Amino acid sequence: MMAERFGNDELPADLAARWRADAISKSDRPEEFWVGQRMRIRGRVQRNASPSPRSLRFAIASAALIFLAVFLIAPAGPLPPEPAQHAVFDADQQLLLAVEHALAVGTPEALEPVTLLEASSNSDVETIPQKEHHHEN
Amino acid sequence: MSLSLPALATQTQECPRAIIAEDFEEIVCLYQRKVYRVLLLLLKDPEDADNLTQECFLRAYTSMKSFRGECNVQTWLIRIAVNLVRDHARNRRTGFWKRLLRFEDQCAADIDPEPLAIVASPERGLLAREELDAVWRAVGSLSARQKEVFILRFAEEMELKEIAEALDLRIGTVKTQLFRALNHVREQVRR
Repeated sequence: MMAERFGNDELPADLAARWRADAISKSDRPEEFWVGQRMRIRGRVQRNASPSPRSLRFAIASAALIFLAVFLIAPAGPLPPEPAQHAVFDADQQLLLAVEHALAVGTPEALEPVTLLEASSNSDVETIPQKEHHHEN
Repeated sequence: MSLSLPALATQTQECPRAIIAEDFEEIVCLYQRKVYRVLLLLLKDPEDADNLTQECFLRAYTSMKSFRGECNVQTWLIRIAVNLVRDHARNRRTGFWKRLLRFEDQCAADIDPEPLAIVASPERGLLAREELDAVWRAVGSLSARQKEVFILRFAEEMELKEIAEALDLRIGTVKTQLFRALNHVREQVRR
């Protein structure tokens, strides 16, 4: 019976009508429900339109907390001289003194100009064979 | 420009108008039942349908200024509602079967015999009820897209063009989805 009533591309009109009526009856609610729903919608719209007092309170509390933290952490008077800076100064001073001392003593042999090095190496040439001879023995 | 109640009810594409805040109460009164019905049929959960109806009108309110009357108010609201259902389905996919079972139980309890009052004999009444139940079962097993199209077409009696606008689809796609949905329903009812 059911199959015969079906066309190819539509629901039978009476079945469609009954199904629609059934769907409407399933979603039927008492008037109080619709009134309550409208009130809830209105409430949500109003909350959405005005800034939330809860978030405002949270923002104020956060700002106060940050202010308090900064106030407590910040120093009350001028900063005392830092010993660490003294240590750095002393080390620098010592290094400068060491450099000055090294310059006063004279240039180390390894850092002498090339000409001096060459001169010293030429003077050593004559002594090298004697040294080699000495090693052969 | 404000819209009177009759103007809102009959607003079509021929007379597109923007909506202002003063219209909003009227819009809620006019369309809350329809929006709730679509949501209930799609979600199968009265509580979720109620929550999303509220959400739908809230979104409508916040996007009211961007509404330029490209479609009528009903289509605009149904579009918002369907998008909410899609988001909801994505968010709560795990609870789907639970809600489905709950709704089927409720459907069995909520059966309203009034639509069958026109049926003459008890035997025909029983057959008609079976037929109706078979349609409900078939609709319940449709894909999400097919269900949307089927419900908007047969529960809300919307035109194909309106369905296409509400679901953001082409009319050809709506026709295809409707054809497949009807085939599925037909096969299920014939069993």
